[in-house]
Amino acid sequence: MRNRILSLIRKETLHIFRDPRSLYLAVGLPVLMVILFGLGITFDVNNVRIGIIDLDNSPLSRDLAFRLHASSYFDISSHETVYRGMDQLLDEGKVKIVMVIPPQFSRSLNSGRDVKLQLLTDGSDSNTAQIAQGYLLSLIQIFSVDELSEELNRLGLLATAGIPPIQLESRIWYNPDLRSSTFIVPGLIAVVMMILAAMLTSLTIAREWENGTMEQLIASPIKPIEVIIGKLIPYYILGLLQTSLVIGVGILLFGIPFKGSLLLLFLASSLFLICSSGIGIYISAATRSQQLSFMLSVILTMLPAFILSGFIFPISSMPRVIQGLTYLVPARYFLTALRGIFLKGTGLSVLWPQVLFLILFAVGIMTACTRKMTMRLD
Amino acid sequence: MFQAVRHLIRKEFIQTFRDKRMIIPLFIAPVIQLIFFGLAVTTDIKNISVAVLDLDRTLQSRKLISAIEASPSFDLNHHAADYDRIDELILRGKIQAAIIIPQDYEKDIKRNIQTQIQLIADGTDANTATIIMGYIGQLVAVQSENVLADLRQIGIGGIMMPEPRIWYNPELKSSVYMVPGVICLVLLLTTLIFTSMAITKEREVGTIEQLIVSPIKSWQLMLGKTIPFCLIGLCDVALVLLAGKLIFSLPTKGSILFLFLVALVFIVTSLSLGLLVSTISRTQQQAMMTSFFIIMPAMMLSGIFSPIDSMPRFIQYITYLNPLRYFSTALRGILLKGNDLAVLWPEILVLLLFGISFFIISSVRFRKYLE
Repeated sequence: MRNRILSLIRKETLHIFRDPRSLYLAVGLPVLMVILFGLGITFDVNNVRIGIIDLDNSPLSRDLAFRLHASSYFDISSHETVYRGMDQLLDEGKVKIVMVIPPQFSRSLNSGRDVKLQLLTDGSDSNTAQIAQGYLLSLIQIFSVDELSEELNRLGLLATAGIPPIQLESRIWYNPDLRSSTFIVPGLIAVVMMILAAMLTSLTIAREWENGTMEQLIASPIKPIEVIIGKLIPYYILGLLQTSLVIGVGILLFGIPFKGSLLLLFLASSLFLICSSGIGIYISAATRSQQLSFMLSVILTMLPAFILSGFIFPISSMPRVIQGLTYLVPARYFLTALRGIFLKGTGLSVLWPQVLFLILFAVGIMTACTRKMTMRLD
Repeated sequence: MFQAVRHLIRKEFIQTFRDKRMIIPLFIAPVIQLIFFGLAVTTDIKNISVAVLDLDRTLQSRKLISAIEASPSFDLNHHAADYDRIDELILRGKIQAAIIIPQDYEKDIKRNIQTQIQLIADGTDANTATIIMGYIGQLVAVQSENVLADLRQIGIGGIMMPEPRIWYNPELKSSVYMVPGVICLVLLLTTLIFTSMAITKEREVGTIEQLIVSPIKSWQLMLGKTIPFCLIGLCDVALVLLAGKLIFSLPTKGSILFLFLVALVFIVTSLSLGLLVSTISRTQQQAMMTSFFIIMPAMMLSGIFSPIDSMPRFIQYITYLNPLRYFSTALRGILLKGNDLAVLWPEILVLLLFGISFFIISSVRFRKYLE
């Protein structure tokens, strides 16, 4: 039995090496993605282009504009003192937010009247709009408090000068510089492995059917489970290679911290690779057509890996129904484990539920594959 | 002459849909993708789990806590008893941030001494942490303002009151924003990957030789191979728009005809790329890997998921070489803002240039490939 599996592994490995371009691409794609994300494809919001219509044009209103300019969130790309053309800027997408500072802004504030500031946000990119507007509200609020406290201090009503009565002191754990790449690269391992492993294996069995070589396998004494193992192992090794490359590039080029145990990482990656290759093999055995198999594996892995895993989009912000669905996605568990191992240095004592799920899923998908793998001509 | 093309197109349709299951990836998957993208893709925060450690337990501290409770961004589901509990909750990933209200919080406020609220955020998810900081910062600033407002007397110290309004997508539905993204993704899958695989399949199975020895000319073969996928692509656009309209009541402010014309220009671009890939691939696996290698960076650098403005400068320049960038801008402009050619002509022009040049390159290569 071992001989049969070994020769199948050899055959499949030969197949991988006979097509060097696919091999290079399979290895190059993860590296390219790490580099792109590492170089700063971020999902955070900064440098949002803002237009300011300053109808007051006083020292105070210019101070407010400077506050926005000094924050990394906004880029003032238009600053005018008369009301015109702002609608058009928003229409053409030249700015994302317009802030109108009313005339008499400074004088009204000084004489104790509250002043309304109009903000107009382009909501077509709903995420950026919401976050940018949140930042803007926060900056204005803090500016208002600073000015108010200064004014009260000047009049002797407040002892402390120019500082708000309540200050927020923020501390960030695990990733103090808040670098996006630190958070994205570990997650990328899960995404890349899920998509590539499933995609590559999704072709294997369908190819045998399409090229007619499956009939030879059926005629031989090999058992379905042996075919699956023989197909799985070469791609498992390829997957581990891809993983090590992503980790290597992440750590060496972009200084991603690695705090946890390598052994646990290896264990989790192995389990996850079995899960995702298993999905590919299952699809391949079920469809017997390379085109269909590829399309299905992209749809069934890309969507969950990118969207439902918590890779970028926070799961807690999703509707309840979809949150429920994410519990069925192996990438979700692997991603939690990866971030824990890389950034927090957590061990099995914390991550055992994730590992347990991966084991269950791996066993489940392998059983399903063996069932689906009918070795009959019909 | 066109008779041959017609036959080829018929043949391609029969071949593609002989396997009824093909309907799943070509027509059902786009709708499912739309639903997931529309519902699940948001980088803004909602219901983020936070804990509070209230060492003061006074009226003032409860005011702050109820402000956090009232915010839809946060789910205050842990009241921690001490610092150790917070450590543990963050380590286990049960909460993403903790707010610590110091002892003497109220007393300090009353005595006009500055007091500090501490925020601890889990930076593993850098985006969420940044947004949490911004939002909590605002809640705290409002508290400050209230304290100061009590101190002021008539005639001094006005307060700035921002009045936000949102245009184009007032309810800030991310589904509306994601429709163009799904259209791009679906078109790339059908017209780039699928086409290149369909052509290499003929080569793998050996039927391409029969076509070459037949009196069919290379341009006829090329049209016969691409027109079916062009039609399928246009069907998908219509399907996604219809589904967007029915499920998410997507606004369509601009001209639908104009939108389809733009989509057609983009389809020519990506079909040409698909042809090009097929000419340099021997097996379906190669075709798939090569086109996937093109699609992933193209999607990432398109501005569909992450704002281009936030990328580093030199990456922003690279995005100018990406046809997807122009296509998604045009789609969003037409659907959400009702833009027409007067605004979108630069995007359309660039797309046309890409389409024409890719088409010329790939048809030259395709002819050589057949010989």
